[in-house]
Amino acid sequence: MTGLPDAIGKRLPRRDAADKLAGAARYTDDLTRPGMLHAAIVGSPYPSARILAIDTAAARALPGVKTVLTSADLPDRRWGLFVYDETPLAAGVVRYVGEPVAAVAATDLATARAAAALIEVDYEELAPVLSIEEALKDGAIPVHPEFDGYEKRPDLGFERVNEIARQEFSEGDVEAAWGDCDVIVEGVYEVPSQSHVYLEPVSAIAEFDRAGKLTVWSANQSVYKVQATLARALDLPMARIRVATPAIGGAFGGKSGVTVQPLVAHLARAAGRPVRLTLTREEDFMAMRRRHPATVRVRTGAKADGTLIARDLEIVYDGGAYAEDSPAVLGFGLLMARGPYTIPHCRLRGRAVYTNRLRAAGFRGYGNPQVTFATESQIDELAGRLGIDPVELRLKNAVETGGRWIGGQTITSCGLKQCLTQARDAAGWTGKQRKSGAGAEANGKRRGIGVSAFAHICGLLGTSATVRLLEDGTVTLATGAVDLGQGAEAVLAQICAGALELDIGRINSAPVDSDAAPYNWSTGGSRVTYMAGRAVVQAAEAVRAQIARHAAELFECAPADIEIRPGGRAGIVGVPEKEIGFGEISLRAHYQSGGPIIGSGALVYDGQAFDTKEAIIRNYPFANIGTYVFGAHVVEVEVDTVTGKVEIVRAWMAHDVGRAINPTEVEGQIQGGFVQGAGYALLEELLWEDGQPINPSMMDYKVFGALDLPLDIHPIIVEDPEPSGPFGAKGIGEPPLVGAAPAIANAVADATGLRLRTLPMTPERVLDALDAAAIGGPEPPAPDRDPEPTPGA
Amino acid sequence: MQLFHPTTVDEAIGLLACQDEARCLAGGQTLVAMLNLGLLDPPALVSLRKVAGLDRLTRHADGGVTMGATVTQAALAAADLPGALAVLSAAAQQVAHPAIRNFGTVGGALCHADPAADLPPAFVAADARMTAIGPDGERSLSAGDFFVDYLTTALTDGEILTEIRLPPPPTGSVGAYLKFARVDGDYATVSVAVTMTLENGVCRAARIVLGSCAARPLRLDAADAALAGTQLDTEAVARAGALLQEGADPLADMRGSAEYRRRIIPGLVARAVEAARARAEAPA
Repeated sequence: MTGLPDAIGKRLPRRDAADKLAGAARYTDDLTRPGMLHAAIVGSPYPSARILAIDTAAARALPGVKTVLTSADLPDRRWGLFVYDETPLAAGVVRYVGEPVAAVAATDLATARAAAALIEVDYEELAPVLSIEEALKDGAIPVHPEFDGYEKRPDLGFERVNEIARQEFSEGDVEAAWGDCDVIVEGVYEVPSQSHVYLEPVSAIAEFDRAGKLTVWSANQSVYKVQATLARALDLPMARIRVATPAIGGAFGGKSGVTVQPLVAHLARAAGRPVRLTLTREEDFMAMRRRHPATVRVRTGAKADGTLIARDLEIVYDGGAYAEDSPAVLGFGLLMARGPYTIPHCRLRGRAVYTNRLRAAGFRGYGNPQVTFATESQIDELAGRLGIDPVELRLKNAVETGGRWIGGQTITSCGLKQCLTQARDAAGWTGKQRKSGAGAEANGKRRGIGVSAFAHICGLLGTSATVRLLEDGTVTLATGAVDLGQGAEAVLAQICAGALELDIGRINSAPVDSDAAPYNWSTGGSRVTYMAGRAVVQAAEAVRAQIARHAAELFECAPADIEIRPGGRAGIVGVPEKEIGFGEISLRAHYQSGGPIIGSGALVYDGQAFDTKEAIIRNYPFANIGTYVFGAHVVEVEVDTVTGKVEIVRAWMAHDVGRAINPTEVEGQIQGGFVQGAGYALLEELLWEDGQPINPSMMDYKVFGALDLPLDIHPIIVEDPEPSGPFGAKGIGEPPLVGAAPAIANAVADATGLRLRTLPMTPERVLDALDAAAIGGPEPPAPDRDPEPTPGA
Repeated sequence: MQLFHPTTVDEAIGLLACQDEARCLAGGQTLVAMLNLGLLDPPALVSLRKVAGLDRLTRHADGGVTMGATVTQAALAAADLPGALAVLSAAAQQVAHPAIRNFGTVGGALCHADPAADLPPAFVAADARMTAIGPDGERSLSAGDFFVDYLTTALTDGEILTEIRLPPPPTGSVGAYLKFARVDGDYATVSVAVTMTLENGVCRAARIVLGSCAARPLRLDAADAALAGTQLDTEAVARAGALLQEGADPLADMRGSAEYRRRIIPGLVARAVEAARARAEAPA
């Protein structure tokens, strides 16, 4: 790493860690305001029903109750990200179980909850739409009969009832290409609804001052998205809304839009007092967000030598009751559906549909885990049919720097092959890989090993930063990048320190508050290091230029003769003794000449746009979205033939991050993402029966904890610097989740010879498959690998 | 809701008798969660936390053990109990997480009588005697008779479980507890508590008790008899497993269907028996 500033690539400790470990960090629910009221909500008991009447008299009469709201008390203003279909409280009809119907603010929480229990809602039950099939069948019941009247930005073309979006990415001529294929595999894959299960349930406090300005404290991923939606929901100018951010206990995409902020703001407005609402874990499970379940049908063909020729993929995502991020999740899933391979003929089509279940939204991976589970399972199935080692097949077809993504973007940096080879070698792959698909059994357990390769993006939309030189030469950095707990603050401070060649101790990070922080679209899309980092570098460079100008004036030389030296000094090139500290320059700027030194940086993602001449791209809401990132996982599992339980024994997760600004944080993201992905693969699924959620609690919905995964999960950092990235860095937040499930499924297939195409691979599902295979069930799964491969056959 | 802090068993019984539906509070790890969820709303809680002597675990010279009802699960987990009684510590080690075990009590877990919990099958396997004291005096009943149904014990209104007595474990006895769960710390999908006495490789007596497979800990005389007198050969163990499988009547819940639970019983029984046998063969 020669030539890199001191702060870059360092395992520096995080400044929020001590408070969090000591329990001193303050989250929204820890905060209070003078005169603050406490809120509770009433949720719908039905997946679909008309609200005939709401009797709030008993609730209002309860001593201590200050406000009761129903949709009748609210303006008719809907919001959304693409389709403006949401309201703070159900208006006229309810569309999922748990949808807030009424809300209470009272002097204490117990009173608020008691009052909520006194609200009587008279419903007329309606027939619900509970599955993708029901949503799309002929004569389907529309979840939103008034859909045509909704505002849409952009209007993405809707052909059927309940379609939230329909998109396509295609290149070449798939139908003609099948004839060129020696082997074709086809399968249908089902992926479940995963809950975000952030540690901190959703919470918000809203307060109006006497001049009518609204302040909202809340767990969020973007103060600006919250501000913009509040402006619309409350019919206030954005300039009258301040959104502040206490410590945040995780989000994973689940707090990327508004959560309960509009409702809490309405309560505060109606009560004339500050109001806090914190959802219970059960309410959060039922009324917030989830990952899109999906059905994926894929067909992939290859030459006998392993050259991938064609893929036809169709995916339908269940978007739930409101559109939210669905159009973008769909589009991103399709953009990832070719996988990180060159496949000349691709037809990738998909839809997102409304159902009467909880709304689905962005969730770490954003449509990619669904698609990649299917496609990377299928690459292994192909490898088996071809008799080619699964790693070799991937290496043979892997994209490289300078290659072309579907849609025409040039890949500007690509460490995919290094990821594959490093994960393979670390795992000792060659010796362990079995050919038969029936791993050796010991003590009723079978071992297997599997691989996945995958891509993601980082980029997206706008961001900005300011760097201000304080009077003593230290620095305050301000960005709009909310730290969700993943360490954005530390990484951006390191980038700032690196760009100014200062010690990290001289960088102060300003809290993210919409009244003062520079704009950032969101902490999401694996984009903060890459996008906000670029803005920080721009801002730091502007400060360096001003420092150089001051130094040039002081030394009476040309600014070009000034160099910035590590440790906060500016000097004349080639004259080591001629130098001046940032502090002296800053004092001069503050009190004598030029004014305080502030640098700013701002950009919108500026990468190459899709090439619509070479590819059919239908209804995609973005012209470009980001630069590509890559990874490969190798996982060794043990399948218990008594219980069907799949245990992860070891894993190696190699990720190309361009440059690891802070390797410890990168490794944390890789391990955390892998564990959450392992939950997606093996354990987690929100379930409904007749539209009723049946496991909305941490008693029934389990996530993996520290004791469920081995210590033997090894992050491997690959660095292929991205020319546009800050010090070459790219994003890492989401990709580690994406690769987990297919690598685990491929390992299960290696251990058992069974291809499980439905997630999660629960013990019961695995045992069912084992038993079906043992008794030669009606549909014995095809062996994962031909016992005697015939090359060129 | 009123909260009382008696310091003697008699005082506690008196307080319980005063108010219908009053509940005993020990570690509170289940009770308080149920209160928070609104599943219970008793008019009064009678805390046993200050009742003298209830938190004592006593080892007797003959190898027997007596433990008060408020001995914590953590204390039981850490107790190095002899022979077959090791099943108790092994089960306690698998109750939820350390923070819960530090507060949760043995008596509380037994009186809650959740068939998916870890302690009930282990105490049946250890053939524990339960001491209950109520307005009508003291009585003793076997663990097997103590558990009656889902969340239901043989305690009558106003009775308190005060003490659990474990008979001296026979020479050559061993115990093992095997828990199968979705994740660490979850309730069992199926659990198996085993105690047995081995003599030169021959099983003289055995008790196999399943958790999460019926309304109460499931023990079948026929299954135990299937092992007695054998060398724990595969067929004998399989026979015991099959009998238990047949006798099981598990619930279906998020942890697994009833059919799934039934299906994995024989394999888990075999593993639990093997684990117990391995202990017998391990150098002391």
